Amino acid sequence: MPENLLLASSLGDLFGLVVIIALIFYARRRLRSSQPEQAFERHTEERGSIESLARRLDALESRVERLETQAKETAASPAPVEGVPVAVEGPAPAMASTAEAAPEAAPPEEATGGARAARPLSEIIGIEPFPPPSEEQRRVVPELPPCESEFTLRRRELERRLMENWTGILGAVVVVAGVTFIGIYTALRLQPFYRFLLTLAAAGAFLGASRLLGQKKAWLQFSAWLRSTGAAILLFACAAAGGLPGLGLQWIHDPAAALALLLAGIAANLLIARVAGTEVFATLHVLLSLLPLAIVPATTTALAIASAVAAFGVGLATRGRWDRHLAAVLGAYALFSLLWAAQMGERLEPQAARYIAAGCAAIVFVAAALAHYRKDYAQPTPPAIQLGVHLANWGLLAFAMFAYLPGYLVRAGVLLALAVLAYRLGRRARGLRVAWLHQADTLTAQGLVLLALWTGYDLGAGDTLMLLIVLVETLAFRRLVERGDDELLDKVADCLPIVAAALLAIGGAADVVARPDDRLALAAMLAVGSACAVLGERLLRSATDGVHSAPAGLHSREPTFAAALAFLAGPLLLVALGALLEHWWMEATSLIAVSAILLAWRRIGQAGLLAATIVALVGSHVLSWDYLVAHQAWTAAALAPRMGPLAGLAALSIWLAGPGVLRLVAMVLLGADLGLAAYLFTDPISPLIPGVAWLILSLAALEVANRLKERESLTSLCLGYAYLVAFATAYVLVILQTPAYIGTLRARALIELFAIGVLAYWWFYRPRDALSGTAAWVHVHPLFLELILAAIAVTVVVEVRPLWWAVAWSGIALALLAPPVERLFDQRARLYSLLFYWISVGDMAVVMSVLEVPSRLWFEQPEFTSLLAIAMQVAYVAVSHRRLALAGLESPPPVRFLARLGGAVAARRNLYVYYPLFAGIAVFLFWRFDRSLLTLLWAAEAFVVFGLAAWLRENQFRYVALGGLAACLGRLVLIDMAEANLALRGLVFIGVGLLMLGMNAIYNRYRARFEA
Amino acid sequence: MKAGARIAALVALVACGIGLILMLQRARLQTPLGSTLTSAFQVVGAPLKLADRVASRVLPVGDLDEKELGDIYRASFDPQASPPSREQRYLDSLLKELQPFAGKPFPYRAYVVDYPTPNAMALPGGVLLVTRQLLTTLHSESELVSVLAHEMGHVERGHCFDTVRFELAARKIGAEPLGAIADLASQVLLAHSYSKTMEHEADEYAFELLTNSRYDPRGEAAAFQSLEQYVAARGDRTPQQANPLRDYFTSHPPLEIRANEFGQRAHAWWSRHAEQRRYVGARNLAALVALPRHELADEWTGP
Repeated sequence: MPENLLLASSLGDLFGLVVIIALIFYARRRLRSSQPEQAFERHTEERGSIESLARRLDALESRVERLETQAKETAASPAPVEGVPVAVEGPAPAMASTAEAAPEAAPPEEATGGARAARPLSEIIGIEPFPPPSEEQRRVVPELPPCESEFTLRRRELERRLMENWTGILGAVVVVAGVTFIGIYTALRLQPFYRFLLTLAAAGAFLGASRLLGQKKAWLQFSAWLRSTGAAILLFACAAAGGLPGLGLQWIHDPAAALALLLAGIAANLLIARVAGTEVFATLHVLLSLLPLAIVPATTTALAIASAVAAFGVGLATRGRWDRHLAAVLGAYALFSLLWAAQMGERLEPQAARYIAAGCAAIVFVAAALAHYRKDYAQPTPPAIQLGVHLANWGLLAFAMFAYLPGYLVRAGVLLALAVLAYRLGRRARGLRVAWLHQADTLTAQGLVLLALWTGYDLGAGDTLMLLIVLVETLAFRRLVERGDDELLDKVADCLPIVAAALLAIGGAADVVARPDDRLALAAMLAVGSACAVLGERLLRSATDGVHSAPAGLHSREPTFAAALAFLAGPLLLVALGALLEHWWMEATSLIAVSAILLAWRRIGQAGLLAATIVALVGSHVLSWDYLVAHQAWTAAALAPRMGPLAGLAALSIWLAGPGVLRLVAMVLLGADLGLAAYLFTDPISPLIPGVAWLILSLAALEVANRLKERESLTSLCLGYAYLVAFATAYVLVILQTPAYIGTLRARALIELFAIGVLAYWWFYRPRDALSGTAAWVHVHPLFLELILAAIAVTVVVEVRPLWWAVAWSGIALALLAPPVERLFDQRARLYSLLFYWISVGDMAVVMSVLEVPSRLWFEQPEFTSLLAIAMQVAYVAVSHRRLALAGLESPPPVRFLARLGGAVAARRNLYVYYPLFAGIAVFLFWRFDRSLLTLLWAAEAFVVFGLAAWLRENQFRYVALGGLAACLGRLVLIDMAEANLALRGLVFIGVGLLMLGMNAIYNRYRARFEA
Repeated sequence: MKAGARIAALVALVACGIGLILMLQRARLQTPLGSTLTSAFQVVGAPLKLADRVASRVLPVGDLDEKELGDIYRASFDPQASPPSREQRYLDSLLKELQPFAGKPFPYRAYVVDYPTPNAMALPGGVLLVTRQLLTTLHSESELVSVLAHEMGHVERGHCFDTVRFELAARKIGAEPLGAIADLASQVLLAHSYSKTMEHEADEYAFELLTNSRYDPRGEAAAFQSLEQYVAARGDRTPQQANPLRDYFTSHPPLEIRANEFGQRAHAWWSRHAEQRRYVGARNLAALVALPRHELADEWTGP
């Protein structure tokens, strides 16, 4: 891009910037002027209302006068003739209508000759007359101006605003734009030096105009802006003359001369900042002075000049309490320093440069500090910005020292010295009762110490060690800050150790993962940290908090900070234990360490320590479990030293904890330890053993639950449930996959039978009142019947060949209907017997009807097992006729729906009990046997149904049997007659005939039953 | 329960449990996999399979329809088997030995097909396909018979028919696309649930057939082990721990579980039938000459 175009573009941007600034000013003005404008509008509206009211008042007065005059004239006139309507007395009507009606409706007294004097009209119409205004009043009431329209008022307001504000602003903007355009035009035609002169001339014009206008009071503000503009242009020209690229103004090529010229421009600006007298202009010129220094190449000279400028700018703040100015200058200097350091890069290596940079920062700091350590700032509660600027000043110095000073010893020494200085200053401020300075300097001192500690990284210290040192330091700080002296300092001093301890726990955990070789050292450091947290808890207690005489529970009201720090002892210890996981003595260590915290809690009685104990106890167990499971398989010799202390820790915790949540937690952990031990010890021998062990443990848990009280009893009961769930999981995932033959015995089947036995023990168990009243017992225990039946069903499916399923289901159905079984279990066993019966019928009709087996043994044929199942189903039907009483079935809450189901079945017993069997057998016969024998077989079924009808005295069955027989006869005639095999045909006919005869005999023998 | 009876029951139960643990400890029984859910899905698939069979029974299709379908398949494969190769003749001889065990009215025939992996499959109507690779992967005739019996089990237990029943029914009533859609839907919805159940049923059928035949019941477990070796040689290993999704979507139970179960069952069978002698036929398979045609005395084995 050509140079002139670039210049034009830059200046165009400048013009755009000016316009944007103007618009911002307009918006601010509008915001400020909105309130007077609204007040003016309100005033205008009120004035209009008053005028309207006055006009109406005048009209009313004139009308009243007219009426009174008319009334007097009427009273003086002759009496009216008879028959003239007379006004009736009544409530006074509205004023206007009364006034209009009055001439026609005179009062009767007046109408009858006016015996009394005429009453005034005001009395007649019921209102008080307006007293005539006195002369004085007439004089006082001002003459109202003529009423103006809304448009006129708005136009005048617009005119006023334009004249008062925008003419000046817009005029200035237009002039600047015009000058800019002319400048560009001219500049493009001149040599750089002349352009520089032209720019200087423009600056001089502004400054001259400012000088002229500044003599008049009305133009003071405008004059100040012109002066600033001139100074800014001057600085721009000086900077550009020395080498700002692309502006076409460079005519000096000697760096020293360019710097001298730039310094002149800066000096001019600083001078104007000095003479400006207001905070805004001072800030503007100091920042403008720093700007070109940030653009020129980064050197120590540039930094020194910038620091001098910043120090001068900060010094200006001594003229008042210019905190915004201070904030702006310090912020700009901080940015400058960052930029400078980034540009310097490796050039910062020589120590001299570093010392110079640190010294420059110190100069600025001292200047700013001098501004703040004055009597002007000696009020106890300063605005927030004041505190912020003070801290920022110290922060700037601290980071400059940290970043620039070479060598960690020098760095740490200087930072510590500064910390001591800040602390001493804070103490002095406290003596002078300047509270904010006391707070700020004390906090600064603490920050400087932390920064000094940070240099420890240069010595090769890791995160954990550094954070441990920080924790100790924060505790020392807590000790140093006198409690109750200052609320903010108290809170900060309380919070810092908590934050440090939390960071130590997090950083320590990260180190443990990242540095496996240093885990022993890390564990030691974290253990020390945990101890610090326990000891620090005492420091964080307020003076009014005494040591509790009894251990505090989780819900006790404790000092929050002390409790939080005490709690962190738990995670710290946990991380320390995690670092020791690979050592066989980790669990033994955790036994000692966690017991120590537990004892500390017993002695101190702090809720935070209780939480810490729980975290450490649970966490150490979880860590060990995870490690032990992940590193299977263990030999008994390797496992015992680990599981023993772990279980011992849980047992010791139960003993030491006393009644409460910790004991319950420890009980759960002990239960889990035992379950895990059973798994880890036996799984390598055979994966089938742990499930059996868990079943035995569930029995133990149940017995223990019955001997404990309240929540402990409930906990033990839940452990028992958990063992059962663990067994179920093991069964599904491990045991189910193999029949596990031992010789000809199936170990899986034995396990299943043992599980059913254990479930039955749970079902038959009658605990003491303490346990039987718990919700866990009331809601879960009734379901053990369902669990037993489900276990039986699963065992059948898994262990019995499908060929025998129908028989098995029928057998279970019959067994559930047996009186002893019902006595042992529950009424709802009847309903479940029906369920198994349905399954048996369905299995027979659907599976057995088409099941093919390759066996040649007669007892392994589907026909045989199906007929056996049918026989058992018929037996079930016969037994159920007397014993399946499902109406009014009582069911516990979890299975309440069973009672409704039983009622529905009882209401339509035949539909749900008998006909499924009849239909199932018919379908089975249809699918299983040869079609040529089908009529005979169906007729046999009809015969059985007929017999049942006689036995059970159920006439409906007789009709069904007869219907079926009729169908068989139809099939005999229509289908079997076409059978090619004559012998078979004869056999069918004979069979059907015999069956019919049999039915006839039954009917005649048991006629009374049928007819009953 | 009274206290005395309760304590007695508790003692008895704990004693039984401890006895069981001791028994397991002595036997040191191991499971084929660390943990798996395939067995559980196999059990859960049983009721689903039952429901599916109810649907099959309701449709107006039967064995004759399946046989017709089988005839179509046979007609398409017969030209490949004519003139019969040595492998084909061998399979024909074995099927002749197995045909008497079939309950369905189909003429079973196994065809040799070229396929890069050892496999076998069953089609409706008694058509079995055996890859040439399978004949070289297995180590004995009893193993091959167990595989053929497994495929026959699929046909006999109606698995093949169930997969095409909707299509058969639709063809019967003249609405073929609907049947194809119904088949697809049933496969998508149910196949993964009960396919493991069907495989296990077919395995059961094969084992029963072996125990009723002249072949060694250990042949089935041996066949699974041969296939395991093949899979292992390719670098595939069955994951040792359970994964619900993988275990659900696996169509077959893991070979390790099948080999373990039927190996144990064969062992138990031999414990009960120690006096019997059964045929292995390793050299028969190598020579592709079936037992009915060439009996080798040293191929008979005992417990």
